[in-house]
Amino acid sequence: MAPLLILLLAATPAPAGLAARARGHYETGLREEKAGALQAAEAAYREALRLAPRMARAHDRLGFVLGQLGRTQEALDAFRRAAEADPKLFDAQYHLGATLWWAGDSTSALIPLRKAVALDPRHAEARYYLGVCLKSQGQLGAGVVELREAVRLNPRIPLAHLHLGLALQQMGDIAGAVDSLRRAAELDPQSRDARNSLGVALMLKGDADEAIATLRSLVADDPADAEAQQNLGSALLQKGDLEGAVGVYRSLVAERPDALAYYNLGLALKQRDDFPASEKALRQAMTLDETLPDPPYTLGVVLWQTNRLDEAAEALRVAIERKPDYAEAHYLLGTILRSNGDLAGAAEEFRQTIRDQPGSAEAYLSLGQVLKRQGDPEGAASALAEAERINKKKIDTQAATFAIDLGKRRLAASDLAGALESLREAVRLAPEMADAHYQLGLALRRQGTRKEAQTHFAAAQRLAPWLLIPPE
Amino acid sequence: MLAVAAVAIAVAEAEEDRLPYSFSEVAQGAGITARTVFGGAESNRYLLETTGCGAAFIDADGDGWLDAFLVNGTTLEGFPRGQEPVNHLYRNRRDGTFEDVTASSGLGASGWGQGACVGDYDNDGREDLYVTSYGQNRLYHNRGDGRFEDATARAGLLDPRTRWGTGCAFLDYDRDGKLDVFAANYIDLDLKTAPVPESGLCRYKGIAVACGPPGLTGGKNVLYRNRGDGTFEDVSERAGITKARGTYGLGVSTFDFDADGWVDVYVANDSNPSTLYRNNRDGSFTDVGIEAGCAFSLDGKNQAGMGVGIGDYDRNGTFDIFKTNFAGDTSTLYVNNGDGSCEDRTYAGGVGTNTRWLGWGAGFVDLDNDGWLDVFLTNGHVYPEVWKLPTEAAYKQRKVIYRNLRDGRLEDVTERLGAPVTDARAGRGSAFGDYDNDGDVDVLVNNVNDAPDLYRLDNRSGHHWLTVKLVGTVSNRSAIGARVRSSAGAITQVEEVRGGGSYISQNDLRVHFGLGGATKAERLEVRWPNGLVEEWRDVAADRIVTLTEGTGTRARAE
Repeated sequence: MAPLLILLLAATPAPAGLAARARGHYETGLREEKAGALQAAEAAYREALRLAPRMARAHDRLGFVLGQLGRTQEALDAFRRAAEADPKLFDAQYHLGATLWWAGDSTSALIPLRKAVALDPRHAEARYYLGVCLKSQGQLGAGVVELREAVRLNPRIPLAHLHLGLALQQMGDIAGAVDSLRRAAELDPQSRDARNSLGVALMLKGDADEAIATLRSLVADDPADAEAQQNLGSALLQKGDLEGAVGVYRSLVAERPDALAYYNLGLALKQRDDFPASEKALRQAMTLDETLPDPPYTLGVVLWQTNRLDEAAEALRVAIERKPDYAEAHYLLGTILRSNGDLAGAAEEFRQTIRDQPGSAEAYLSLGQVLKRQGDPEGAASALAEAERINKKKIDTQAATFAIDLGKRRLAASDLAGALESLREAVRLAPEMADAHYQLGLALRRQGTRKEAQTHFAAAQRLAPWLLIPPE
Repeated sequence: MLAVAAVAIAVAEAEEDRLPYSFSEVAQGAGITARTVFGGAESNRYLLETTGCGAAFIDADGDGWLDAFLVNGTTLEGFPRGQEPVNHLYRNRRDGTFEDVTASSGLGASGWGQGACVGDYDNDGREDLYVTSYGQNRLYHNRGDGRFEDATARAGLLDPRTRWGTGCAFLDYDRDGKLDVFAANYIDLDLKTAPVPESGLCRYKGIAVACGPPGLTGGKNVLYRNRGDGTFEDVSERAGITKARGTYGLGVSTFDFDADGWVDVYVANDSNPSTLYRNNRDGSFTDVGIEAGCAFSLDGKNQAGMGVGIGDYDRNGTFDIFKTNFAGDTSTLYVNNGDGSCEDRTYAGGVGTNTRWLGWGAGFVDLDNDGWLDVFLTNGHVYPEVWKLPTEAAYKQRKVIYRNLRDGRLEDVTERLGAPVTDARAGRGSAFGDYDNDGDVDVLVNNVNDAPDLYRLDNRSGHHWLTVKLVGTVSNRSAIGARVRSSAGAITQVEEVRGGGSYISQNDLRVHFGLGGATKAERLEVRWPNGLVEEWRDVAADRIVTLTEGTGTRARAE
């Protein structure tokens, strides 16, 4: 028994000594890493781990080095081991999450990133990565919350501003998107993504002039950037500079004759009432890419406008084939079929339009008119009533916008009673309008009616999760 | 020889290419010179500053020659007392020129003038005027001595509210022989609360512009029934006028849509379905625009309707509608099927190829007297701010002239005509009438912040014509609502005497027919507003004839 015990004692090193030696190799690894000697660092970390297999920090640094060496899967394995060895090690969770994000696995990245943020809520980059992961998973509201926190903690992360802007744009907060994207572009003027996205957001906001200036500078820096050129053309179209837009698209077509370039050219020419040239460009687009639905749709519109109804119907059917839920194409096809006396066909197309675009007042109206001609007065009445309801809602929404504007002006002029009257009217007209509730909440708070104010703030945030209620 | 033949062919083709008529712009030389002031010239704070003013042809002195009445406006800043722009009446001197008789006429009111319409409301044989405004509409009674008196208060037409009257028309809706008054109302606009461009809420292609009309409270149209004692009664509610589905009314014209002998009314509405008031023959109207298919675009969308022209352009015996709309949209051509429905033939009719222009005044008018109605369309952008946009179609825009191809299609011949119709102007109200009594229809246009234009039509076609002035005796004196059918050779046409028309304007109350090669109208049939049908036979062409109710031969309507 005694020789076995001696052997056993000899085979198991003293823990304190092992730990110290492991630490020594770990620190060697850190020095090598700092000196850029990644392979030497890797060797040192591995040695440390041979001696102390549960040394979380060594696993983490090994993962980092492997990541820099381009061995992503091995890096991920190392980070996982680090996280397993010490779930409370921030770096392990953060590095694991961020690397999973970069590896394209945002679903798996969520858990370690949530843990990282829980471990260090003030780490801006962790918030950033969690935010972009949530955004990519479609959880825009939650993503915006994290991204906002990231830029609050560290206002100088360009990518955080960029992704925040894109998320806000997706959620419909265009003004907020423009602000964030502008900041992203300021922080990183070389970022073409930020500038291009800013140009698009400005177009959505209706600031055609600034959109054009932004996109022009982008195109000037890199004339081969086809996406920037396309967007510049769209901005020029939005401003009504048809000549400018046609010029951009013609040069795009000359340099890079792809379907999208021809399509945009066709669209610009159509707006200039140059139908023959528009038709030619659109047909070219259709030939170059047999999957794009927009060229045949727009061609259908051109043919319809020039009274070539059969050809228009044919083009629209192609568009629908390419995109079966193309509401506008179904609607226009229905309009043509109705003109041709095919009431049953028209009704079916209008019904399909409604399925694809339930808020289309025109589709309900047209369906109602066709049903009437078909001798279905009840169906007709129902469809026409729905058309009227939708139209009324649109009108009320516009009126609510003006009422909000009046309310804000009155509030600014200290006419609190007048402001409340206008803002209550806005909420009455458009109870689903977040800004109406928000502005009314502010006015009520000014009045001191806190409970009612809170009700409206809650409604506003339910309708628009990105809204920030200012503290009192 | 070949060279000569080639030249001959080229000349022949060029000749064929040349239209048999042309326009000359003669306002300045004719003495129609007063500038129309309307809102800011460079930018507009409110939509109030964008609508411009109407024009009216009126035979104010009853001498058989059309005088010209031009409504005027103002600015937000206003003018010092005594320097305000005023409405103008120009008396036709019968030599191609006019005399400004505003000062002595009593018609020189100032303010935000809008439209004008003409009719003899008291059947005293003198044409009266109704002028709409943002503010108070006014009825002017023609005293016959060169003066008009403001009869608004006496007639019970004062309205305590500030309303925005636009297009108007005299009409005898109840066939009692007395002209009633219809006026469209655009927006219930309160300048104290209306949003402004700086709010950023209202943009046109990225630039901040005046807000509306969507989002602003729409106006309700009005109908005043003539009591026959010089006073009127507001019957708008009772007559169903206020129940129209659309609002934001602008251009107005009367016409008999369903050929039942009772006058109907069409209102071009902005950003809303246009209104077709069908006369129910019981003192009320029903808005059938949507059901009839004359309210929306071909693809069921609201349009920014401004002006309306009425005429039987396809010569099927029914009156069709030409409506002008916003830039980026086409004008709309509604063909009257004669069965209570319209068919939108905008694209089939060839009108769908023009989307760059923003249309206001418009009219069906036989420019070459071939018996087929052509179209004259006045354009100009709404927003003066568009000078910031490098677009082709700027604030001032050319006209569009469509020639009737006689097969249901219209062809844009504007470029072929050239100046002055290709000259860019900020046009609005347009009145159509033969001011020089030479047998072709001229056009008076009221421009914004500019002098008016008078387009004299000169016809070289050699075609014959006939102008008919109708005088009611049992029916209203102006014979508004009368329908005339002319049969001349192979050409049978129908026309009407209409109240209002175009964009917030009033056309010549006389009825004009182009007769082509026919030297006489074998038969003129008149269905008077009160229902009597009479005919006149073998009426020689190339003159103006006056037909008085009760002096023809009784007939059955064809």
